[in-house]
Amino acid sequence: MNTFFILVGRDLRLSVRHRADTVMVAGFFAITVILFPFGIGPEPGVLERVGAGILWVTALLASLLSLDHLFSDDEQDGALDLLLTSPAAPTVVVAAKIIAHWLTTGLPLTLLAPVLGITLQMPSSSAAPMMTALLIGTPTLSLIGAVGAALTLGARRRGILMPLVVLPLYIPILIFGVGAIDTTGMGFDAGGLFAVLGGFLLIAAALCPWAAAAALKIASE
Amino acid sequence: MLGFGMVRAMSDQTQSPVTLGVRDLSARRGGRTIFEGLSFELQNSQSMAVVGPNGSGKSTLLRILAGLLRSETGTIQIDPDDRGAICFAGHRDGLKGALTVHENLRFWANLYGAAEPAVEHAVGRMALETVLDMPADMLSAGWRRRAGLARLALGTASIWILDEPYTALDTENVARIDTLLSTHVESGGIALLATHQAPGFTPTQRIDMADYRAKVPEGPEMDW
Amino acid sequence: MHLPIQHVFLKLAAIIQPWAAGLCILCFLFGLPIALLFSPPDYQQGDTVRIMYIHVPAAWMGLFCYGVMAAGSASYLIWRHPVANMVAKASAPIGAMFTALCLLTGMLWGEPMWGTPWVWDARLTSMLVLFFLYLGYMALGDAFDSPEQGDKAAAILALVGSVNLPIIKFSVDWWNSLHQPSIFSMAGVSVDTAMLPPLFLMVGAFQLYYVVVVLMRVRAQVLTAKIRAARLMRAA
Repeated sequence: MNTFFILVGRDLRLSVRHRADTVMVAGFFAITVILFPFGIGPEPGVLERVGAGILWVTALLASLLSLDHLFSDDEQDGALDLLLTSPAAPTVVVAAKIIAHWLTTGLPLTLLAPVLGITLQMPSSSAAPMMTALLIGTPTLSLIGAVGAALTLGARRRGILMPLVVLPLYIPILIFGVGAIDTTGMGFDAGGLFAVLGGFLLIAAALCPWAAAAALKIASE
Repeated sequence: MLGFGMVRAMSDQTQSPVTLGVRDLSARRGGRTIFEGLSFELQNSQSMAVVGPNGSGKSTLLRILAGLLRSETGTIQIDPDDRGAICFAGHRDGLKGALTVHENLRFWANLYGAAEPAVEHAVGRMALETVLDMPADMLSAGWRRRAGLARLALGTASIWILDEPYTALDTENVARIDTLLSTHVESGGIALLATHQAPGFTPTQRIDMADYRAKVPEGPEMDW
Repeated sequence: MHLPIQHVFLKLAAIIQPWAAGLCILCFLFGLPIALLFSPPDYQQGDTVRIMYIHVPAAWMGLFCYGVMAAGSASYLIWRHPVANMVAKASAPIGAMFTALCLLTGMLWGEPMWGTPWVWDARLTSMLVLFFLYLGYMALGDAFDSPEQGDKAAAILALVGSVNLPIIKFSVDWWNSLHQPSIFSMAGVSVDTAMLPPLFLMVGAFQLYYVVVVLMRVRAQVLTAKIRAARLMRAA
């Protein structure tokens, strides 16, 4: 367990040094969301109706883009080899990197979402369900995305390959993430939907670190 | 006091038996067997130089022993059978450019379970005092190499596996690595290094990968 | 080093292939006319129902191929058996083709039934996602300079996908029930006993087609591997 925190601490320290990366992801999230009113038109009813969907789709893309360098930085400077030969188990290395990734991207996106929701004219009552849904859903994005990032390590045209590999796997989270916000917005109890999102998180947490670690071992060969 | 911690670590090493042995090892890369029939055994205070022409599988052998690659056939015996027993250093140093040398080293020390005195000892061994607070990406190649290899001097691993450790180092620093290696071996550790240069440090054994080149042509295996 | 099981596989393939091909042609010869001309039209859908004889077996094969791919990938990763991987790799384009056929015939069916070629019907949507899973698998397998690395990465992706597929199906079904209470769901087609013989013939034809093509593809892969090995030998 101690090993885990050492690894998380290192990645967090690195992202504090590279804080521009986190700012860039948040910036990407914001500018992309703001494109939609221009594309759809600023009529209040329309934006309010599609707001949850826009926020989630954009969050998927932002998470995906930031996953690009989850393992590749360590791979390029040789640190990945050293981590894989260190006393830390590969699954622990992967799990630590995923947590650190979420803390530096998923969490900021979650905090930013209600502000962007205002620009989409979403009611202030939607802020709480939106943040809850993102809080439960974005870690799953990091987990699944980490598998994709590990699988595509060393691949040609990685920037295009990653979305093709990862985005289909994101669809269930998108469906229930938007569903939970919309259902609450319509005045129904969405507890079951949040539970489903939580279920996805548990399944992903149980399987993804292993899959990503297996993929990393292949990439290091 | 600093030295005291280190001496303790070293004496622990001498007491425990260390073995690195392989039997009938073969490896495939890119659909081709690159070496086969490789066997050797190293025990406390033994070291081995792995030599051979480019493409003969020096790096492959070291990466297999470090657990980064799978061998095609053969058995590997590592004693103590513990993930921390081996310290691997490859072509790239794995330094994080955004972290200072001290931070880099301290991270590896924490991960390997070495205490703070061990870090200071390692800094002293590699004479890194002047660059300690510099971000690693400001260092020249030679300094980076030194900072990267300082990981070895943390003293936690009993088996060192080094792939071309002398790259980018001047004679003074080659000597520094030699001293590091001989101290490690004298205190009971095992070292395995792939190298082109003949260093001042003389390994007890030597293996030429050219002797283990796959002799049987590939043809029949794919002929189904 | 000879690996007998691979010999057995190719020998067996050589025996099976002509028989499967012959049977496949027979199934199509009988199945297609019965399905498209002689079977009774549906009382609600009229002749449109005939699309189902292509659509349903195609959908089934789309899933079947993914199953083979996942099973082959698992046995490749566990036992490192090259033939298992070759079968998995060979199944992907066939499965993608069947999935595309399923989507296409679904759109053809939708045009008269829904008045528009594409409705976000639960089944069609799931098949669409399946199609992208195939694309991802094939793209990943081809994206590496070392074919072995591509094979292994794609094999892991196939397994990840097979865990995800039921989750995707569940999610899409729920999503669909929330948004699209369509009158004619593709799931709601009741099957009359008169429809069964042509349906089974078409399923058989598609299944045999798969066997023939997958064997051809595996053979081609073996030959490619041989050529590669020969080139490497010369280079060495």
